[in-house]
This record gives sequence, C-alpha cells and structure tokens, in this order.
Amino acid sequence: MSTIPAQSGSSGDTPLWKKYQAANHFRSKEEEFDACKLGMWLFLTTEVLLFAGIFVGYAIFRMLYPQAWANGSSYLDWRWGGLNTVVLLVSSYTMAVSIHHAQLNNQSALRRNLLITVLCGAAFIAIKLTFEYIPKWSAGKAPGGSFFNYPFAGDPHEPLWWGIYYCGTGIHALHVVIGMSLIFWVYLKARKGHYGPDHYTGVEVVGLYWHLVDLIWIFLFPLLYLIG
Amino acid sequence: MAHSHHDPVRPHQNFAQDEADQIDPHGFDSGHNHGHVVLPVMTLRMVLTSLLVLTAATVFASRAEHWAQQFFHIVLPGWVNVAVALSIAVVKSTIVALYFMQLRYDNPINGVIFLFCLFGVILFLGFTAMDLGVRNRVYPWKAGEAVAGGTGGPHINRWELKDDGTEERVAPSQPLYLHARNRLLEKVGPEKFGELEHEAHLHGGAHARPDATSPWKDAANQSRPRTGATPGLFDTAAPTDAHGATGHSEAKPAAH
Repeated sequence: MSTIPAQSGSSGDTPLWKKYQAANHFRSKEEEFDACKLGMWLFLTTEVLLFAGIFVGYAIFRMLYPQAWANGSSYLDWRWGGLNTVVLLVSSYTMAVSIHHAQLNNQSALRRNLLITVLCGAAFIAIKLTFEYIPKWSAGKAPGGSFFNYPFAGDPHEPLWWGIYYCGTGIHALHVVIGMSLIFWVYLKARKGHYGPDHYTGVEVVGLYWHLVDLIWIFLFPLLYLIG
Repeated sequence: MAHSHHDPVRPHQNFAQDEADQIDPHGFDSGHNHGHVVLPVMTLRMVLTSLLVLTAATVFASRAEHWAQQFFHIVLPGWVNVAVALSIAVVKSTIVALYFMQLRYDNPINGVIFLFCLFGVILFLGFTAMDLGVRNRVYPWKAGEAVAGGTGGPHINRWELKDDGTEERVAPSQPLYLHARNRLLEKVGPEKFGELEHEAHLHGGAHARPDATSPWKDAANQSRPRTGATPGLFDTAAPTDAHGATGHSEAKPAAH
C-alpha cells in the first residue's frame, strides 16, 4: 500500500518504527505480527475460560437460590453499571481508533487516543470504588465468612450473591487495571516513536486485551444489574 | 507493487495470481502491509454508536418488564428478561469481536480458536443448566421429601473478646444473615431497628418481587436431600419470616 504517507514519527532522525527488525526466528515482520496475534488470541481464550468459571458459578447459584439473586440484583443501581458500560465502550472505541492512527502514522492522534483510553479505564475504576464497592462493603453487603454484616437481608443466601458479585466484578476490575497499565506502557513507547505503519504490534495486541475486558463487562452488566 | 488489482479489504488474497517465488512461495514478504486492514474512523464510530444503542436497549428491556406489570398488569415470565438481556449481550460482543477486535478481517485461525473456546463455555453452562434447570421435572416425586433452599448455614466461627480478656470461639447457631440482623437488634433496640429497616427497604433492595412465573423457580432446590454428610444441615426448613425461628434450635442445657 504505497498510498500511506511517509511522515516522520518522532523528531528529526528515522523514527524507531522504521528501524524495527523482526526477531531472528521470523521470516518477516508480517510473520512476527501474525504470530504475536495468534499468541494473544490463545491467551485470551484462557481469560474467557477463567470468567466462564465465574459465570457457571453464577448460573448454579441463581438456579439454586433465585430469591437471593433477585434481592442481590435489586441492591445494585443499574445507572452506575450503565455509566460504566458506556465508559468502557468509549474506551474500546478510542483503542480501535488509536490502531487506525498508528497504521496511518498520525502520531499525535495515536498518543491522544491511547491516553483517553487509559483515562476511561481510570474513570471506570473510580466509579466502581466510589459508588459501588466502598458504600456496599461498609454497609455490610460483603461476601460470606466474616465479612457479611448486612442486617436487613431478606434471604439466607445473600452472602453467596455478594461472593459471586465481588469475585466477578473484582477479577474484571483487576483486568481493567492491568489493561490500563499496559496501554500506558504502549503510550510511553508511542511517545518515543516505536509505532507506525510498519510496526504496531504492541498497540494491536494490547488493544485485543482491552477489547476482551470490554467483552466480559458486556455480559457482567446485564447478569448482575439488569436481570433480577 | 506486484499486485495489479488490490482488494482493499483482503489484499493478500491476490497471492495466487502472482508468479511463484522460489524462496518465498507463500508471499510472506511480498507487498507492503498486506493483510492489515485500516478500518475507517467512520466505521468505528458507527460500531460505537450501535453498541451504545444496544446498551440503551438492554436497559430499556429490563425496565419494560417492570412497567408492563405496573401499568398494564401484564406479568411477563422472568425468563423473557433473561433471554432478551443475554441475546443483546451476545449481539454486542459479536460486534466487538468482529470490528474492534477485527476478527472479520483477520486470519481465520484466530476466530476459529476463539470459537472453540466459546464452545467450551457453552458446554460448561449447558451441562450445568441441563442438571440444575430440570430437576423439578425429573424428580417431581421427590418433592415431598425436598426442602427448599437450605438454611444459609450456621457454621461460622467468630472469635469474641470476653470480659476477662480471653478470647472465645463463638459459633452462632443461626444463619449468617440472621446473626447480622440480631446483632443490630441487640445494639439499637427494636424501635430504632424498625426505622432503619424501613429506611433500608425504601432505598432499594430485599423487596424484589418473587418471580412466581419463572419455570426455573425452585427448579434445583426441590431435590435437596434430607440426609447428607453434614448432620442436620438439610433437615430444617428455610425461615418463614425474617424474625422467625431459624429451625436450628439452640442447644439447651439439661434441666438440672
């Protein structure tokens, strides 16, 4: 595709993405790119299966204790869950847009979109902590064992609901934090000019991870907040 | 450029028309940026918009069930909401996978790997639902012996400080949720407790209407056996009201 304009990536010299060479054991940069993506997809399947365990636990206990699940869902405010859904969808969009700009060598747009993605992740965590985790936990709405201390529970199995809730959303939030860190790392590399039309594997692979985090939340949101 | 007519979406499909290269017969090194798709920003914007619209739709659908009951007295069965919410989630995630994750334009092997993984997930969920979801149909004759729900379990160990400074292990013979309830009752007295409870119910929670129409209602717990490895775990009914007996009688000392 010779139509791609050859702008300079970083100041002055040949940008780093032009100097990039594939590792010795690859025939070309293309082959390396494909191998990296294949490896990432294999890793993503293990992530999906990790969350599948939580979803299966959710299904089992929902079928055993429907009333506890109905009560548990009614404690959650769909507006915070909905807001967080919008935040994550927007961040997925900016992630995809930053790949677009890496491919076209729009360096400043690439950096800007990566940064917006990180900020969206931070907003997600902030909303989750401020309006959900902290008020709920301090009201005693916590998993069983020695944490649960909510005096107005209407069903004996509500501690179990909170166990699934914190497990599912907590592991998801951990993924958001990891994804944010990775995207910030990619942002720092992008500032030095590592990514451009010839080489943007890092942006692409980290982007796949971020979209998966979004994908999981697309299921967690209705399961926890909407279907009581 | 070797390729005379490029397919802009899948440029690498033209390899077969090229002359065979003895060193690089599959054309790995031919062309620049082949196989990479630059999705236009407008496409990505349309994808984002459709995802936001679908999010609004799934929220609306879950509210609509409530309104239908409130204003038109139409009681939709609970599974309708579940089916609608999960269908929309499947559509949304498919859009994310196809466009944001670019599976539509990608090497098919990545999509195949992902589909195999989803097959595993469906297997797990399917077999779980096959068992728990239909027990009420498989064992209707067991209903007489079954006890719904269990008790929430009295087995909790708590260490409490006694007056003489020593610690004692306390195992309250109550379900956890009643233990929490009684602790607050003792602390604030029944009047204040009533106020607090009223307030808590006003601000959401614990008063969700039981879904009497759900075909899966009590589906699984109808086959709970009376006997089990833990003596006494299943031989009591769930509490009838929030203040009621737990079914686990306190171990009283002998009369003397």
